[in-house]
Amino acid sequence: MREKAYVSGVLLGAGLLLYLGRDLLTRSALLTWGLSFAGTTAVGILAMALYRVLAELRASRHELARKEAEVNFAFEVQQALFPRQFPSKGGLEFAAVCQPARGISGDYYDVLPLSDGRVAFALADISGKGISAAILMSNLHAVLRTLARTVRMPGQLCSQLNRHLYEITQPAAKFATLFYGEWNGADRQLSYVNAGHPLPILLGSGRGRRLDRGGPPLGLFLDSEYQVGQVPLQPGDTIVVYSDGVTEAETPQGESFGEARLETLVAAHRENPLSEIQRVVLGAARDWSGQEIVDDMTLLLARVTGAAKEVQ
Amino acid sequence: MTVGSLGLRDHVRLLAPLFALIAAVWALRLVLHAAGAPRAIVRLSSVTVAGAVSVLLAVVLMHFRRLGRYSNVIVATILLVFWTQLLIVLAIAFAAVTGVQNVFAAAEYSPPHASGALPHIVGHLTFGLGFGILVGSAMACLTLWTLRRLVPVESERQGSF
Repeated sequence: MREKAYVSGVLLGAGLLLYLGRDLLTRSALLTWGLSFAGTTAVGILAMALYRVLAELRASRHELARKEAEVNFAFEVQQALFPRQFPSKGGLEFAAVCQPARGISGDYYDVLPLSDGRVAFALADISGKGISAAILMSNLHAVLRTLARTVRMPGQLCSQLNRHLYEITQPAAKFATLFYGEWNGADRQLSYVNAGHPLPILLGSGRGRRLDRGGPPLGLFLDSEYQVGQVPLQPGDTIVVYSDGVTEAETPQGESFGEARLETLVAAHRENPLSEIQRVVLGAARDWSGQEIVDDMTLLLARVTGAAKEVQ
Repeated sequence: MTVGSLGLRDHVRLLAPLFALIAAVWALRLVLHAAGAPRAIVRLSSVTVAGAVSVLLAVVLMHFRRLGRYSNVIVATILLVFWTQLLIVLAIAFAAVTGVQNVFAAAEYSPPHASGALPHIVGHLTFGLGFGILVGSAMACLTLWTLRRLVPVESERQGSF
């Protein structure tokens, strides 16, 4: 309060001085002083605004770099979730790859040996993209690995997986399509569940057969039932499991790569190593779209070798 | 007298570099004029502009040192304007006493119809001080207000007088 009185008094005094001395200096002095103070203030305010803009720009660059580092770290973690090597025993050889559209992916594949010589493999596509899909993907990865080792029936496994995904994603209404297969090398039989996933392509003795038994995508309904399909396979038979990012790759004119083109391509290179087929397919899909990929592309190839039954 | 958390001596200590800046410009102006430099160059080393810039710098300095209360910047303005006018008056008085002319006592800057240096000195001590304090304070407060909004400093007490 006292301060305000001091300052007010000084300002009043200044006003009085101004009045008393109004005719004692040249008119040009008034103009010069006025312009000096006004110009300095204007320049000062402009400089402050510029400083503010630059500071915000610097902060947003910093934030962007931080987020980029986080995404890169998430990408590294996610890559570590994919199998580093595939089981060599069991009568199936594998090749698989996931090419994310946005650094981290909502697609998932896995191959894991089970306790009694069976081999399980899966490919899933989480709805949406980016970080949220990647988090769900890692959760699905962990739960599926646990269930695959404890639940013997693929249908039951998918029901439990469905319930889990439904519970953790409500009310966000996220879901996942999944193809889950269990290969028994002893009788060369593939048991599978297709939970709303694009139909895998079967080449060889079972060519043309549709692997469509299963149920709705995981996480859509609480109590979904999943049927199990059975397919006997012969040495040399090849299964191509893929995410829709491969077949829905579009030309700039909007034409999709399509399942037929994928099947023809794999059939043409059937005798080649799986890694070569994988390279050819992904290269063709990328060339087809002719631009940056807009959806995650995941491809899992499995081929029956003669090994398992001979061992039995 | 204490304003905010600063006494008058603290204000003077804080503003010492700005007093030096104004004095340097004042001396430069004197030297340039005495050396017969072109008029345009002499006008460039303006003590008035140096005073205005010093007020701006004082506000920025006080704001970033978290001393930026309106009352503090007004006190700083008064001190800087007083120093500016004091230097000018000293130069005019020196010319009057010694008879050695300088730029501050030149006819073009002296009041019209005035006889002698006294009305000129009184003009600076009245109109010069009054104008500088009023307009300078307004400028300082506006600058501080803008600074608080555009470049806020942490733990700043917004709206404090």
